This record gives sequence, structure tokens and C-alpha cells, in this order.
Amino acid sequence: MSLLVQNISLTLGKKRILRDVSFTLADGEFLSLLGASGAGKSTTLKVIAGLLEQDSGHLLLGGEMLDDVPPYQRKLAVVFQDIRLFPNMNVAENVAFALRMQGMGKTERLAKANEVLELVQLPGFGKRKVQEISGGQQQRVALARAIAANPRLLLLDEPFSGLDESLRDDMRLLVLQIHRQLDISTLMVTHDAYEALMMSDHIVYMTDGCITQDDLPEALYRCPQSLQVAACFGDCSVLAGQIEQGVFKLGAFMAPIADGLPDGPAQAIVRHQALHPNIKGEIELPVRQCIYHGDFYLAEVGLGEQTLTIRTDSLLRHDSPVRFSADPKQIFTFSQSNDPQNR
Amino acid sequence: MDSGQDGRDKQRINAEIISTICATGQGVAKQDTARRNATGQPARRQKKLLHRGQRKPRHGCKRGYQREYRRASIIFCIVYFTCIFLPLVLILVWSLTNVWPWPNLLPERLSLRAFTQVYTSGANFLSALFLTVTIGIAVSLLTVFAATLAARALVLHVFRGREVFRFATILPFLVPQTVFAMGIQVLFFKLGLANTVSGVIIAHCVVALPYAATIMVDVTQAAGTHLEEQARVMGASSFNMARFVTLPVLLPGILSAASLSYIISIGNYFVTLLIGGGNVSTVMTIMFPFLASEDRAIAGVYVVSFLAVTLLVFLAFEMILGRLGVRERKSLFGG
Repeated sequence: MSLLVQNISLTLGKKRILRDVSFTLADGEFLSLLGASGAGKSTTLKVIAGLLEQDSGHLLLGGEMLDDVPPYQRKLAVVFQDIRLFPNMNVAENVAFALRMQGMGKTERLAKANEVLELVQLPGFGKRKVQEISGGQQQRVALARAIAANPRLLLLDEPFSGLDESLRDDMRLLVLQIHRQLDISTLMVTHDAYEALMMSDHIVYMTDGCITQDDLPEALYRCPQSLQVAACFGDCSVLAGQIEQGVFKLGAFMAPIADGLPDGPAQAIVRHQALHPNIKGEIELPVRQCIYHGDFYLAEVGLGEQTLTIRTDSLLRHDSPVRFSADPKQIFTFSQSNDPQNR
Repeated sequence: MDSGQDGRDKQRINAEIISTICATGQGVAKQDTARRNATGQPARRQKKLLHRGQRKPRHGCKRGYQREYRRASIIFCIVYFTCIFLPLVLILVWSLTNVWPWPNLLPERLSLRAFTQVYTSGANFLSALFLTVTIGIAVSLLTVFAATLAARALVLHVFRGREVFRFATILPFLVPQTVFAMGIQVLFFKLGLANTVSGVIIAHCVVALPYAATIMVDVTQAAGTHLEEQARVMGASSFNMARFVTLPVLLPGILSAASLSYIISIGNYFVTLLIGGGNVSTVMTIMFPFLASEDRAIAGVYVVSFLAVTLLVFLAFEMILGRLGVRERKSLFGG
């Protein structure tokens, strides 16, 4: 079911947590709310779930106004990061909880619970205690519990951050598979930019309680609209320099910029992939240190007091010069005077 | 009293101990076993894995732990035996004694004289016993109810003067019971509650409340609101949330607080005497004069009967909880 979030603002205590947050989640879509911690992502999710009440703005789910609907009548499901299984119930009873709240009979709801447990690849786990199963299995049970009652919207609050790296990939695939199989509109809160890229149809980036960018994953990666968005994918250097006549300059480092930013102080996000070591390269800088990373080495080169990181194929010695060329498509420049948040 | 959290903690500690044992002495294969254990498998299964994984466990290390546990349990048994079991046996012997002149080590003659005297001298003792248990149960119910709500207010809601109220709940700890009982007596005289059973019940509640509130504040704090939030978004109304999530989660604390309040009520002499004013006779008010007088056999009978009834009440309590599926079977007062 489609969700419309309209101009939501929220102040808790004296702090403004959300400022005029608006976005749309289309029917059957997978949307990620991405941002650093403290950006207001989880708060937005709690407002949608009804656990917090917004000061202003509206929520519409499938055309129905949600503002005055108490959380238990919204027919949503939430999977929280800390799993939150009910310790006094076994696995099947946990999964069947929402059905029980809807007044479904015991045999019927337990049968449905076992059906859903098979969907999350935990057949026969119904009678186990929740304390007896592993963290990954608990997260699957939490997912099963969320989808058991056919919610109108599935909300996931950093659902994978408590899991091991190896389990995380499996869970991501499982969530995507269930999302497609049940055709359920899903909103996921995450701080992992690659996770958002991999899973979402659509990403909303939040900074300090505001929406900075609302875009397709490809657009977010290729044309980030703010410094934070550009930097959120990691594997980059942040440089503070000057724009002079359409070129970003910092000492010996120079890169042409795509759009016509005015001259003046600016910051540039230089992705590691943007710099190619090349004997004919136009830039030459001294190596400060070089670190082994498996398939490649990361060489840190000095730019005055700042550092630029380059991927190289071989180990470079300390203080030896390295020549490289820069790909302007992977360098994102933001003028400081235009973008007060970037200061 | 145990809760899910405690169980998980125990498991984690077990896993850590086992992984330490393995990691210190074993090769890489054993460390792998340890790592799998640390992912939170049940303790029993971990032990099995450990045995399967290592043919020759390093007994030195394991024995070290066992020896300490054994030493601790021996000390506990000695303390328990001398401080609790021995006095109880002595009371039982006193209750069956006819003549036990000083300085004999053993009584001269045993008889059921005291029992016959207590149980045939009219319905006085039995009615007192019944009243004591009734007051105890009423006190534990009322106290737990008030303490649970108070804890909820103190932990989950922010309001002006919260810290003052929090301090006020433990204030009766600080004021001596005699001082405070006299204050209550004056107030109850004005309210017409003095010399009545309900007056005694309320006064006992006031005595028991700080203990119950302290327990409930801790349990409520530990439980937090996460599970309640989860229940709400899964479609639980306030009533269903309380019934299926909040109360079961708080239950270990509620049981501790209820037991404690019951014990405080049935064992109270001074407040009962002062507020009841002789109209309300509980086992304690009847028994006390005999303790002071020469006839210890009678006092012994009172104590033994009282103890038996208390144990019966707790046993019934456990059975009811077992029926409700709240407690696992065969886990008397443990869980």
C-alpha cells in the first residue's frame, strides 16, 4: 500500500528532530531511509508506526489518514534492530502474536505461523523457546512475526546491523525475496549506504532531520546532491580547497568541476576509483604511507595538511612520488558558501 | 526468581567460560567450536559440543572452577544449617517437649501436650491463623498493585517532582517502625480505621510498600518499553499489551514483591498490635506473650504450625502458577 509522508515536523524536549519531512512510498516499493546516526531516520519510522506523534504534518496510507489512528490499529509491522521477541512465548506464539490480537483461533493462527516460518526458512522451529535459537534465527523469527498478519506496510529499523557479516547477506536476500513474493510495501531505515543501494527501489537521504535527497539508487550514487550524500558510500577522501574558474584546486591537486559553481572555498569528495596511477598522469604527489588491502594497496598521499587516498597495484615506498590522473565524474565538489550545512 | 534475561545471561557466561577453556589450551579446531558456542547456543548443547570437540579436556583448568564452586557450596551449607535449619529443629523439639530443665542437653520427656493444649483450647488459634493468612494475602495483593503502578510512573513517565516521589517511596525504610506506627495510629484514630482489620491491612501495606516498590522499580527499569512498543505496533490494545506482554515480563518481580510483602505482613508484631489494638489477633500477637513467658513448648507449637501454613500457602501459590504455565514444572521458587 502506498504511503504519503507530508511535511512531518517533530520537536522532542527542546530539540527539533524532524523538520518538514516529506516523501512518498509507492505501492509495492522498497524504500530506504538512509543517513548518519542522529539524522532522524528511526524517529521518522516511529512517527509512521505511531509510537511518536508528530507536531505537524500528515501521514496517508493508501489514501487513509493515519494521524489520529492509534498504533495498534494502523496494521503495520515493525522489525526493530534489537529484535524484541516476546520472551514469555515460544517461536510460533511470537509469530502468531498479531493474528492473536486480531482474534484468530489458536489452531488456525499456529498453522499460519508455521506456514510463515517455512517462508523464512525456519520450518519446525515453532515449539522452540526464543532464548534457545541463535541471533540470526531470532531475526528471522522477528521477520516472520512482522509478515504473518499481512501488514499494509513493513517497517524495518536497521534490521541487519546486529548480525554477523556473513548472516547479513543471507538476511538481505531473504528480506528482498519476501518483499517481492508478498508484494509488500517496505520501508527500511539504514545507515549502510551500500545496503540501501543493493536493496532499494528508491532512497531518501536524511541529514539533521531534513531530507537532503530523494532519488533512485543510481542517481544517489552518481549525482549526490550534498557533501554528506557523496561521502556516505565511504572509500573517499574529503578535501577542502578553492574553486577557481571552474577548477577545484588544492595545492598540486586540480580537478575540473562539472557544473558552474562560483569561485571561492569549496569541499570535494574524491572517490578512490577517481584516481588512476599513471606514468603520464598530470598530478604528482609524495606517498605518506601505503597499506595492503588484498586486491589492491591504498596509498595515502600528502596535500599540505590534508590527505588523498589512491588505489594502487603495488606497494609504494614512503616519500616516493606517485603520478596519477583524476576522473572528474567520480569527484563531487560542493561550494561552501552555497551550502551552509556543509560548513 | 528467574527471567528470560537472566537465563540468557547465564548462557552467555557459560559460553564465555567454555570458550576461555578451549581457547587457552586447544588448537584452531577447538577454537572454532568455542566460537560456535559463543553465538548463543543453549548451555547444555555447548557442553555436548565441547565433549565431542575435545577428547582430552584440560582437567586442571576445569577442576579449578569446580573446586571453587564446591567450596562455596560447602560454606553455604554450613551457614544455612547453623543459622536456619538448626534453630528450626530446635523449635520442633521444643514444641514436643514436656520437661526440659536446664542444664540438660536433651529434653527429659517428650509429649504432645503443647499441641493438644493449643488445638483443643478453642478456635482461638485457628481463627488467628486464618486471619493472619487473609491479611497477608490482602497485603501482598494491594502492595504489589500499588508498587507496580508506582514503579511504572517513576520509571516510564517524566513529571515534575519525580525524584522527590522516588525518594518518598523508600522513606519508610529510614523512619523507625515504632515512630512511624504511632503516627499511623493517630491518623487512623481520626479516620476510624484503628482497631479494625482493614486498618491493619493498610498499615501493613505501608510497611511493605518500600520493599515491593524497590523491587518493582528495578524490574520495570530492566524491562523498559521496547517489548511494549513491539506489542503496540503488532496490534495490541493497552489491555492486551498489559495482559500478554507487560505482566508476563514483570512477573518474576511481581512474585518476589508479593512473597516479600506477604512475609512482612504475617511476621509483623508491633504495627499489628498498635493498629489492631487487641481487636485484631494474628498469630504473632497471640504467640508473643508465650515467647516471653516460661512455656516455650506452646510458643514452639505456634511457630511450627505457622511455618507449616506459610509453606502450604507458598506451595499452593507455586502450583497455581505452574498450572497457569507461568513457571516451569519442578522449579519450586527457582525457575
